[in-house]
Amino acid sequence: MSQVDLPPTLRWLPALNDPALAAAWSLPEWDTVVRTARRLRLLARLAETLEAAGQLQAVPAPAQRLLRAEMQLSRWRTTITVWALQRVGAALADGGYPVVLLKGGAYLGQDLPIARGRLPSDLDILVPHRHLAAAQRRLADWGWEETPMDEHDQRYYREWSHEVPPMQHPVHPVELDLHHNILPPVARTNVDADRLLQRLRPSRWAPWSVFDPADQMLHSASHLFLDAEPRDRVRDLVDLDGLARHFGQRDGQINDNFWAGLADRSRELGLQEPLAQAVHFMQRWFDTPMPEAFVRQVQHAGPGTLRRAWLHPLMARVLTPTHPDTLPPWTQDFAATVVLARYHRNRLPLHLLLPHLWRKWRMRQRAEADPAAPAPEAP
Amino acid sequence: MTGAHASVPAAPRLADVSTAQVADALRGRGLWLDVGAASVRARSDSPFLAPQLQRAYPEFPYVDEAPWADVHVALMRARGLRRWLRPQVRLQADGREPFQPFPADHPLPMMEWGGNLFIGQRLNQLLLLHAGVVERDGLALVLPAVPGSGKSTLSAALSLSGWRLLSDEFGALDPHTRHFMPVLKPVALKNRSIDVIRAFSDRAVLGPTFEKTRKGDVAHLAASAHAVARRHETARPGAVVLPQWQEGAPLSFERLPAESAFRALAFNAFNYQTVGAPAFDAAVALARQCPAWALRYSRLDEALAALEQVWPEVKDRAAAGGSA
Amino acid sequence: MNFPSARFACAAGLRVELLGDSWIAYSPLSGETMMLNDESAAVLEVLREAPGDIASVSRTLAADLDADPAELMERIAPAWSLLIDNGLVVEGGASPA
Repeated sequence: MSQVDLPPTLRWLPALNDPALAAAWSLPEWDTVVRTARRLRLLARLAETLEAAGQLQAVPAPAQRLLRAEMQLSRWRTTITVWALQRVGAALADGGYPVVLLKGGAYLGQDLPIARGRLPSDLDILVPHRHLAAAQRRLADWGWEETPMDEHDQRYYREWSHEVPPMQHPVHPVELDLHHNILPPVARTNVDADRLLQRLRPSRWAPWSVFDPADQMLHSASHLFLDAEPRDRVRDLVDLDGLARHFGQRDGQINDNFWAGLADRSRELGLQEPLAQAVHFMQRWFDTPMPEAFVRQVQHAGPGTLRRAWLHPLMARVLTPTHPDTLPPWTQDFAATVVLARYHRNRLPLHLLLPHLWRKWRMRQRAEADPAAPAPEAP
Repeated sequence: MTGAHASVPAAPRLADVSTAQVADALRGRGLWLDVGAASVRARSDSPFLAPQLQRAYPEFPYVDEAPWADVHVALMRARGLRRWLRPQVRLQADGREPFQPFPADHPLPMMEWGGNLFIGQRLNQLLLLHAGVVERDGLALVLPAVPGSGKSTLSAALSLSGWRLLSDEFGALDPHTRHFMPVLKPVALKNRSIDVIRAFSDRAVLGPTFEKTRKGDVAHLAASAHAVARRHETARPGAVVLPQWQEGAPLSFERLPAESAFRALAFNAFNYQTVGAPAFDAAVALARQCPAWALRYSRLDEALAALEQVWPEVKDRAAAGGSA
Repeated sequence: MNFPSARFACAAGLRVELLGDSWIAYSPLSGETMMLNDESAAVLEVLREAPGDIASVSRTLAADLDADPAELMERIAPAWSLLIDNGLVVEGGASPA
C-alpha cells in the first residue's frame, strides 16, 4: 500500500518516474516547478525524463526553453566529465591496483538511467589507501595539481579525511577528488574500504571499476545522511530511488535477492542507520518498489522508535525545500544546525571539531567578501 | 505573456502609473518585465525601487500579473540591526541570497546586475555573446565587449542616432535560426560616459546616478518606446565591429580578418562552451558572413560617422550572401 | 606521458573549418575549440584520412613536403601533444558512447 506523503513543494517529484503527470501542469505551475527543480539540481533530470518519453515538445514554450537550456548545460558538463574521466583513466591505467568510479561517475560508467540530467562538477574516484601516494604521483605527472591549501586544511585532509585535497588540471574544468574511503576513517561510523574493494565490478570504460550495486546504494545513503550538508539533498534521494528501481527489479518484478543482499551488507558494513533513513524517505516520497520483509528488517535494525520520532521529521524538515519566493525559515536553519552538528560530530572527534569549524567559517567569510564567488561547498 | 488583442486595452506605460501602485505591486505579487528573449519578475519591500524602475523602464508596459518569468528576483531590506545602521538591501532569488548586500538606496543597480547574471547563466538554448547589438535595415551590428571597448557608450549613442537597440550586454543569438534576439535592459553607463551621453542627445532618458558602486558612478539609459515596441523582433547578422575607446585617439577603422571576428565572438561569450557544437558552427558562420572591423575612436560623432559610411557595404554584402 | 607509439585518430564528430587563412577546430568529445597552428592543421589533415601514430604521420607529411621524417617528427611533436590533451585526437579511434 502506498504511503506516499509529499510536502507541497515536492508534489511534482513523481513526474521523474511518471513523466505523463507533467502534461497536466499549467504555466504558472511550471514556473514554480522549474525554480524549485533548478535549486535542487533536478531540472535537467526532469528535462531528460520528459525528452526520453517524447513529452518535452508538449511542455508550454517558455518552460520548454528553460528545460532545454538546462539540458544543454547538463550535457556539456557531462561531456567534459566523461572526457576528463577518460584522461584520468589513461593516467592511472596499469598501476597494478583497482581504480574505482564513485557517485555520478559510476552512474555514467554504467550508463544508468540516473546518469542522465546530472550536473557534474567534480570527478570522484577511489584507490586503495596503500596506493594513494602512487596514484597522486601518476596524476601529478599527467598535469593534475593539488589546490593550494594552508597547513591546517592539508592536515585535515591527509589525517582525518577520506579524500585528498581536490586536484585541478589546466585543460580540464572539473575538479578531481581522490578518495581512499567513502567515509572519514576517524569518524564514529566508518567503513572498511577493503570490503568494498573485494566486490568491484568493471564499468564500461577500462580501467575503471565500480562498486557492487548494493555498495553503491549504501554509499549514496551514507553520503546523504552522514557525509554532506543536509540541505537540498533531494537529488541524492532521487538517485537512491533510481538505483533501487534499476538494480532492485528484474523484468518489472522485485528482485528479492538484491534486497536481502542489501540488508545483509548494511549490517556487515555498519551502515544500517543511513539505510533505514533512506528506506523511510524512499517509501514516503517515491513509493519505491521494495519487499515488505526487507522494509521490516531494515526498520528493526535502524534507529529505535524513540530516536525515529525526532530523527525522521528533522531530516524531512531539513530536506524539504521552501517555496522559491521564501528564504528557509529559522526553524529550518535550527534543524539544519542540529543535523549539521551531528554530521560533524560523526566526522571528527569533538576536540578536533571546534577549531576546524571555526576555520571553515572564516574561509566562508573570506569567500563571501567576493560577491562574484559562488557559495563554498562543504568538502 | 499573451499578445495584445483588439478588444483588450494596451497596458499603461510604467511611467504613467502612480509610483504608489508600482510599489504596491512590488510588495505584493511582483512586477513583470518582458525584455525580449527573457522575462524578469521583481519583488521588493524597499521604497526606493519603484521610482527607480519607473525611470529606468518608463516605456515598458506595467504588468502586475503574469503566468511565467525566466528570472525571479526579490530586493529585500536587510533584517535586524542592519535595517537602521547603514541600511542594506539584499537580493533573493529562488530561496537563496547569492550576493553581498548593496546599500539600501541602490536596489536598481543590484537588480540589474543580479538579473543579468541569471540571464547569462540560464539561457543556454541561445548563444549569449558578450556584446552590444543594434539593428538597422533588419541587420545586426555586433559590438563585442573587449575590455576598454566602451561598447555600452557606443551602443547608447547608436540607439539615440536611428539604430534600434537590442541589447548593450547580450548578443543573444539563436544558433539554429542564426538571428539575434533582444535582451532589452537599460544601458548601464559608468562615470564620464553618463555626462557624455547626456550631452550627446536631449532625447536621452537617464535614470538616477548611483555613486560609489563597485564600478564607480552608474546611471541607466532607458530604452526608447520604439525599441520597446519592437523587442520581440529579431535581426539577421550584419557586421562585427570591435570598438576601442581611447582618450584623444584619432579615428581608425580597419578591416579585420574572419579569424579575428571568430575570436572576438567565441572567446567573449557567456556560454560558448556550454552550447557546444552549435555555438562553434554559429560563430564560424557569423565570422564568414559578416564583414568585421576594428574601430578606435575618442569622439562618438566620428565613430558613428564611420559606421554610417560603411553600412551600405554591409547591406550589399548581406543581400548578396542571402542571409536567411 | 603519452605513449608516442600509440595510434590516434580524429575524435568522432571533429569539426575543422577554414576561416580566411586560419584553421579552427572543435571536438565534441572534449568541448574544446582550438585555433590551429600549421603543424596541428597538418597532423589533423593526415589523421582525417586514416589513424596513425606520430611516426607514420611524420612519414606521410615528409613525403608530401619532400622533407626529412625525423626533423618533421620533432617539429610536430608539440602539436601532437596539444591535440591529444585537448581531445581533438584520441587513442585508437574508439571513444566512449
